[in-house]
Amino acid sequence: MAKTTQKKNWVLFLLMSTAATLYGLRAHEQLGRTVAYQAAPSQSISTIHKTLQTLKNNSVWIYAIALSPDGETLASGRYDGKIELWNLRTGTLRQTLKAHEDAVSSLTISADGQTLISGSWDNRINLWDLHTGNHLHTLEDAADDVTAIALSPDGKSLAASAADKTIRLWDLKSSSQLQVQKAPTVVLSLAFSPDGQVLAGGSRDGVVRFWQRDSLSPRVALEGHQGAVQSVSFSPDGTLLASGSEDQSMKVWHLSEGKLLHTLQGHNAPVLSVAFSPDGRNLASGSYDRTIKIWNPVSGRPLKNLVGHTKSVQSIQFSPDSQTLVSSGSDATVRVWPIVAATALQ
Amino acid sequence: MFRLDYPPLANWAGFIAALLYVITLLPTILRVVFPSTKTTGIPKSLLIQRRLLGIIAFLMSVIHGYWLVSKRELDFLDFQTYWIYCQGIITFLIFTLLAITSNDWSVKKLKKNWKKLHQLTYFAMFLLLWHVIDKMWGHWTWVTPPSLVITGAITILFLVRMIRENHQSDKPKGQNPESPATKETASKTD
Repeated sequence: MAKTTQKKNWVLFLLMSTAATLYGLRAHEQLGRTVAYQAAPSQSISTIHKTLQTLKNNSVWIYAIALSPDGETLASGRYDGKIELWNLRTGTLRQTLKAHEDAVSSLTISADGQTLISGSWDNRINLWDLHTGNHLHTLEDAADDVTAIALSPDGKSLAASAADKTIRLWDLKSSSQLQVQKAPTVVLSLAFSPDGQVLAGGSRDGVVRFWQRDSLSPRVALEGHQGAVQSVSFSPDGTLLASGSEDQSMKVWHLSEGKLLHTLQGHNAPVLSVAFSPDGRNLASGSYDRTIKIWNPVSGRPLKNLVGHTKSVQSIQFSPDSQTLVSSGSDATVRVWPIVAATALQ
Repeated sequence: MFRLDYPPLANWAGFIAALLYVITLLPTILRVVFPSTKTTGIPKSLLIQRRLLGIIAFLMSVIHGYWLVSKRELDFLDFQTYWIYCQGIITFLIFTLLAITSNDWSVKKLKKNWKKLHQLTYFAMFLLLWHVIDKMWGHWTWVTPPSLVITGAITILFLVRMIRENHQSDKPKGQNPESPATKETASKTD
């Protein structure tokens, strides 16, 4: 009798394990499936499958990318703590820096194109000479994983958020920490407004918060997302802010009126990265669903679907001339996409 | 510049888990490597609390894993996650097996297999040392050096124990009257 019960338990356990595995695999398949945007009949969006370049040097996730102001050098930050410097003109790997002890979570390049700044899960922010690859300095005051960094447009201040729910501001010239502000929750993404006066941060609780640059005193907060805000981006004129969230949507906010302009839905998985083009005409979103979408930020209309990444798209950035888009992802590739056609559609 | 950071809560939980786990390994190892400790009663008193400490260590490892996974938003649908965190995940699976079978009912049901199963603890010990070195090297917080010391020390002590036991078992019977008793005690407590 006892043996029969034991057998039944084993069968039940095996059945449940199989069901759970199948459910997990199905969920994975659905998350990763490339689904074309279900546009209204009047709308038509084309899909770009071909990239201008695909850069791959290893099999490690690439969490962050940064493009130099002249558009020639691309830095990609890897999960294993290394940073790769690519020559985009030739498509060749220029240098690999053993930059951090843990994943490189964020990268940015100064406006003069001289300095590369990297934030990492090893709690450190490193400054590098972009041309030589030499290490310049380390800002070691972060107490936990650095989740995001943002450089002010004048290149004087650096803001960084960490997993200990803090926002820190450094003066880059003296490498001194100016301010520390505790946030209500972990800030996952940061961006300075084009005039450099305001810092925006996307938070784990779905709120987009703003801080005054010099004092880091909190300002308004935008609520509306149902999931963590993974990425924020200001429009070049500073009137709009785009936020991408785990709720699978992207929102475009009108900042002077403080209201929601559009909720852009088209991804079928969390939106991990958003970026305005420097000319302000396009807005891009990269998602866990492996696709990148190009939108008209004013009308909220989808323009293009970029398909090619085989895993989640972690980071995207437009080239300075707005003609191409660079993306990186968990498939360990950096891809360069032509965007000129999307602009022409407008 | 070398400096020690204040550790995040996830690391504290991991450190406490490692510490308690190492304490559960101590009784048998101490008895073999430092036979004089038998007279102090330390191994015996540690032995009494071993099961409870093991369960608490497991719970702390659950907290450690949960905080780390939620903080880093790890994607468990991606194979790389398992590859990168292989030592942590395998150690956690072993801890889970040991925790759910750490009761009298399991001992009775599994009989000889219980002992075999619980010898996985020594495999977990090596994995834990590897896990600490791989994940914490360069992350110098206040808990990194003690974590390295305790996991490193227990591994070395275990190796010494193995050498001693092998050495004793090589000797012809009768030459070392303490040997069978020591082995018997060790097997009872493993």
